[in-house]
Amino acid sequence: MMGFWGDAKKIEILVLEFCEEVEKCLKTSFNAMEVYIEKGETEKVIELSTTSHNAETNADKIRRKIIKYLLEGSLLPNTRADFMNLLEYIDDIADDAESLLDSFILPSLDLKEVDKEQIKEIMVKLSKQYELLKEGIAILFSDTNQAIEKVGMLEKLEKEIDEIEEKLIRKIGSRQDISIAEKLVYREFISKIADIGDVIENTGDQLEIMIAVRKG
Amino acid sequence: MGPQIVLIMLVVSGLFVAWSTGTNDAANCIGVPVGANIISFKRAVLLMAIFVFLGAMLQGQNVMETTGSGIVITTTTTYEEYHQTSAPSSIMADMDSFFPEERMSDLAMMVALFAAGISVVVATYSGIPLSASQSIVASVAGAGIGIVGMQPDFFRYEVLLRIFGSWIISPLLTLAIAFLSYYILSKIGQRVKDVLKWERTLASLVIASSCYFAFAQGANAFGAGLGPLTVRFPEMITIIAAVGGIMVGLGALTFGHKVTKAVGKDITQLDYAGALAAQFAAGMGLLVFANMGIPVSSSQAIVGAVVGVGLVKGAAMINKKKIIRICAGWVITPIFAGGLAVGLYKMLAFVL
Repeated sequence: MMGFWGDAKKIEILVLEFCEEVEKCLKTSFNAMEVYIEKGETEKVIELSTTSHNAETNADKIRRKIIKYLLEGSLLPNTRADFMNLLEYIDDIADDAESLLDSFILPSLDLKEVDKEQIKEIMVKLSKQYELLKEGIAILFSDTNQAIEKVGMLEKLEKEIDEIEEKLIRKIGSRQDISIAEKLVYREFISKIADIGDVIENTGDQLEIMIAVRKG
Repeated sequence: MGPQIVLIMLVVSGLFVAWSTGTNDAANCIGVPVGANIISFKRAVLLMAIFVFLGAMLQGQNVMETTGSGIVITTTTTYEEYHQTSAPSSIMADMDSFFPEERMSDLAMMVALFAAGISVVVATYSGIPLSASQSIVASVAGAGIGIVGMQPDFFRYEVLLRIFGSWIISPLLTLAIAFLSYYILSKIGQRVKDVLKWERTLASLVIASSCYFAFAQGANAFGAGLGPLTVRFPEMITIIAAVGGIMVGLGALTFGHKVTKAVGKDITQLDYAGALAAQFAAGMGLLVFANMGIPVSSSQAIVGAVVGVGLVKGAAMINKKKIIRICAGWVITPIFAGGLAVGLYKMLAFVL
């Protein structure tokens, strides 16, 4: 009777492809920001930014394809609604990663004074966080207990990211050698990166809800 | 109004009851899967109509006989068999007078069906899940009272008591089955690894059990509704079942959404496991009584089952206000149907 509600396997494959493109968008955005902080707007930064934008566009295409299948009747009605919400959350991750580039590289804002090592640490944790989320989504289709375990680890990473964010903002705020306008720009930058962690965690929550309402 | 017109009105009344059965009774089959968002309303109605037709055709015979001829005693032979004594001459005289054709008259059956149909439509409009079988049994008895008056010798009280008893036992039975079924399914659901696959399996089974319920419905309530017509036209059972099935489908499609919502959403929240447990329990209850030849209420069966599912999560999960309203409807409707039948028969018999 699986065919009665469309091809669930097809949806599964597309969702995983979508997650891969979002990951590509995220990682290339981070790489672009790393190079930009170090060296300013170089050819490498432009190349990485373009790759990130293209990945975001591809992710959007896959998402629209999934929605098309869902609208045609794939999966059960309640599951369709949950998957559409989940896709929206994951899409927000890609949007936020892309927005990072648009907010700071496009206007060529100077970020040389930011603590590069700490920013790098945030990005590593965010990548790890997203990886766990992706694994949770992949296992959702076969072992929901393990999926819950994976998303359960997201909160710990999100807390660690918040701690670094707070430390960095305080550090920037305490400096006397940079203007208030610059402090605001740095604070905006640090928060924008750290907020990606919140979006990833919210996506994990959505996954937990999907599993909880079906557990009985 | 000549005999032919009364006959035509009898047929029209029978089809009216079939349609009203669709608006209320049949919605009981689809309320749960539609309420749990497993299937759309229109698809559910189509499936239901097919299986109700099959149920009436293949299993409805037993129940059709009971409501058609089993409540009111219309022959001397039946009297003597039932009372285990020879019929006194006064009774035999009355029998000849009241039932010259050894069955309830076309007028009486037309009145019974019409009264039943009206009471079901009123209940449907009020969003109360209610069975045509409850109304029909009461309206047949009411028409009988209209003919013979309050003479107990002409009624098979044992049959009536069995029917009334089943109206109490059936929701309790389905409640218990549904409670146990949902408890077991919930435990299984907590252990499965692939919940999406489990969900699809449950949904498929809910659809299958809805079809099974509709089949049982056809055997039970639908059969009860058309019983009077099959007594009058025994050679046309197949056609009656076929046309009745179409009318049931039309009833559900045109006016079934209120009761569908009442059953599927207003009593308690149903997940897929709950939907399956409720459908299974209600269908089991209906078939058990159908095989005993007792027309029971599918509304009571499904409402009892849905309550049973809700109770697994606790009494707070049940909309008690709704239940009280429904139970009140179950008491008032037979009284209304019976009273309407008595009044209508007296009036039409006087006029004709």
